[in-house]
Amino acid sequence: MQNSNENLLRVEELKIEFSSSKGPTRAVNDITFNVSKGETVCIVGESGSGKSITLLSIMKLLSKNGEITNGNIHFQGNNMRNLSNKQMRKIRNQEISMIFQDPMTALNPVFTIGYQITETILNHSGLSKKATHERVIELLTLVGIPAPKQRIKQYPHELSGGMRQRVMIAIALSNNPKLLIADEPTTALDVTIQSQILDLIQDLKEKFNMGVLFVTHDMSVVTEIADRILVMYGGKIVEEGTVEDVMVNPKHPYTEGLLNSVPDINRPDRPLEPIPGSPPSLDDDIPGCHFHPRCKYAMEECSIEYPSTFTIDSDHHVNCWLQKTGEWSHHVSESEVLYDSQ
Amino acid sequence: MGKSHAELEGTQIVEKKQPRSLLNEAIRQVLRNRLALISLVVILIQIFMAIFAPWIVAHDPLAQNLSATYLSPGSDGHWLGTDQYGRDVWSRMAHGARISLFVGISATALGLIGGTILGLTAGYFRRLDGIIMRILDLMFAFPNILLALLIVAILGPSIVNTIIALSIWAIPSIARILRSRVLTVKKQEFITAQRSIGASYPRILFKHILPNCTAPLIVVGAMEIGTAILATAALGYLGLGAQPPAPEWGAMVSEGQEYMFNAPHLVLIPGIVIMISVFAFNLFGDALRDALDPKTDINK
Amino acid sequence: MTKFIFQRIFQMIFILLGVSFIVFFSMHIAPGDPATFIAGEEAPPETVEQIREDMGLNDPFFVQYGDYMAGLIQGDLGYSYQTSQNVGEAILLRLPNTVRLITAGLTVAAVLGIAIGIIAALRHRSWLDYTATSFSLLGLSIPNFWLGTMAILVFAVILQWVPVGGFNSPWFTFEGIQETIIPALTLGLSSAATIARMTRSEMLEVLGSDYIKTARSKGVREIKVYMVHALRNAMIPTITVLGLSFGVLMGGTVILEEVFAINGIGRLLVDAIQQRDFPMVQGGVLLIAATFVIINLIVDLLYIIIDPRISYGE
Repeated sequence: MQNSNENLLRVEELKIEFSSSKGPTRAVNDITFNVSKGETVCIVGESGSGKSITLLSIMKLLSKNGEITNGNIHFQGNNMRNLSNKQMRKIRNQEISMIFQDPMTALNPVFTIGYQITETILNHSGLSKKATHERVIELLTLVGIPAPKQRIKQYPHELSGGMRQRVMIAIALSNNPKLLIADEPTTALDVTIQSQILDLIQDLKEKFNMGVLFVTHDMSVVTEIADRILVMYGGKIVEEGTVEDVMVNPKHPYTEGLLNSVPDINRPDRPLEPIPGSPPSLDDDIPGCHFHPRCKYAMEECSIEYPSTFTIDSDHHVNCWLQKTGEWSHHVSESEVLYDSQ
Repeated sequence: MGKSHAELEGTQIVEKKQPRSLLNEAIRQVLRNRLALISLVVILIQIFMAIFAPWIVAHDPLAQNLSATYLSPGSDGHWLGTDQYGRDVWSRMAHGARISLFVGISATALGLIGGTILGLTAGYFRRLDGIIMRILDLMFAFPNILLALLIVAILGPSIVNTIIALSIWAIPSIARILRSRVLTVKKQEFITAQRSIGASYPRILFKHILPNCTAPLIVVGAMEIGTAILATAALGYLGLGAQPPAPEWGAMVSEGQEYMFNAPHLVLIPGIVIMISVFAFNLFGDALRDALDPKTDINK
Repeated sequence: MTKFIFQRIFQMIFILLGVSFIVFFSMHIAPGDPATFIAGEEAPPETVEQIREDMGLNDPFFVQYGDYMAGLIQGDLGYSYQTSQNVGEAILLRLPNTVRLITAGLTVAAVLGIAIGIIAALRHRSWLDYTATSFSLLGLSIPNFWLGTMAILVFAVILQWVPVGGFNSPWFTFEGIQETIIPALTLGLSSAATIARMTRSEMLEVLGSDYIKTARSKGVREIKVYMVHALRNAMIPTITVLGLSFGVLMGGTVILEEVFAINGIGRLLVDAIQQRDFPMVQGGVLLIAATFVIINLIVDLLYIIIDPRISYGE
């Protein structure tokens, strides 16, 4: 999959902290990953795992109390960490675009969609009024909005959720970005609309050879679009690999848990198995592996030291002590309880 | 009637617990807020002044002493000075607190009663909603203090008429707030449950709906007292409220105005006291609202 | 939309009718006999009776009300008991001063309130924010008649920057502005406080919303994010407060015209109430209430312009 070696985005040892009245809390802890041209990378994890914050930090849109305390973000080889707001503005939408989770609230309710797209185009180019207008219609056509000439005069509340997300995508594409960042763009939509939007993103990615960084908690979405998967838990990447490796042969108990908690069309008789407990909050200071309190395979050392990275094969890495002992494989879960957590 | 009332109260303890604990939590939160605490202290001082006015002052507020007029604050025996008739300003201020608080609290109480009855009725009985809301619309057509002025115009200026005017003035906004609250509470399941077991209207209204509307009522009440004190002073200033020689704060500002060049304390003292008094009620009401409204926490 | 406007106008006429009835009825039940008042306490009963007959006071209530309304439609508001001046003329004579005070006060309230609200929101939780918030609450607590008196003492008497009171020069002359500025500031202060509080909390809410994040991710400049994307949304609820402020300002003029010795409707009204001059009270109250009702209608219509989500079309 990763035949083009061109790294579009490289995130290195990124740490993000939020200051609160209780002191700083670490939301993202030492994560490293790449996104290449024409590649879709999915970050998967439950809410609170730090995935959305990672996206916002790339756009430099963290709220005021959030701060990158370590690491670098390279885009096309340039370090963006120390860019000023002004320099960053030129990158936003021009180079990197972002679409958000809820299209119902992501569009400004008091401006027409035509205005909101036009504004984006004019931010970055000196197109004439007529050319801009044509471009808006072209974009709306591109994202599959029927009757674009009428639509541009409408306000967000006059459009359905799916249409609004298409408008958001049109806004995102208006300056031909090289990287598209999507924060759960289908979560708020109906299932049928979901797959339409996913197809649209796939099509556009191929058409423009964009890199896509896609955050979701939905494993079925991952199978549909991802080339590579990063599984995040408690602010860290716990497993990463190509979609085939991770989906077929998950090495981290958390990944396995995520997969077991959604129905599998190939194995309809398999019982669904939710992950017990709930994701840790940012304030929780869990020693060792963050997942061990919820892990059914937890061993003594899991609560003592954070697991080192084990390489399964060239692209497939996992942070789990089970790999050290070598006792664990995906199939254990089906062969009854070996490591029953008391 | 007396019996059934006692019964009502007996059963109420268990069911009222929930709003109570919310209120307790709110009070705890208010007490943690330093500004709110200060405002509470100011309110308590004022209440103390009002209740014990005859015992904490050395002079009759109306007693003139033409040999000791225009004394500045700090004078012997008159720490806040005297006015144009030689009346003790401190004594007048303390007795003025009686008038202000009495008018403010009783007008608010009457307004709350009237507003509650109208709001409950409008919110609960759909058939009466339209007519009550139209009446409220009519009352809202008189902006600000104008409604109170109109009532004073009919009844004539006096303290009692001030109370009547201000309580009628307070009714429409209280009724509207309560109505919208009732409309939300009404839809909740425990009300439907009560209805399904055949509970009587008064029982549902006063035992189940009203306790769930206490939060907005308390906030409005605190704010309304401040507004009423301010309006009392304004009416007094215009000569349409308490009549001289009554030691009313607003009237004192108006009387002192003539002498403000020689004896500025006659204007300064009542004005500042009105301001502090109203400010305290506003601050307290504000803090109460923040504490009672779960939404504000997210916004801040 | 047209249907909504007509509906609202219809509703407004209804309210105005109600208001006129309430006012007329109140004056009718008020103690004191106008005829005795006009004739004087000493007048013989026959004279009083004659006056009563002439004024139509012996007619049934609804006939009197009908007469009054018939006159009102033709612009006849009756005559003052005190000065036998035509009420309509007396009001018209003083209207410009009140309009001037209210317009100036509204400008102060809107400009000051919105500006302070925005600044407080942008510097959320800074000392600027806390100062602005506490001062706005204080602004709501200051009695305006006292503030006006103090302002006269400081700016007119001690500093002598402005005249002591009254509107004597035309609007847009140096003298005109000079004599308007202090009354306008005094009048607008409490409304400015309300507007500032509203603008601040609305801005804060809007700034936390997703579409602001979208605007930033689009590369919109910060100033434009605040002034275009956020403010337009925050202004929607603030418009209501502006409409309500109008009522507060009207109440304020009644008091402040007295303080600043401005010959306006408010002073006319207070004098009329003190002298129990009912036709004058009636005229003044009706005018103020009618204006307020019309302003509220305008505010409702403004909503349609500023908020596309509201269409009122059922």
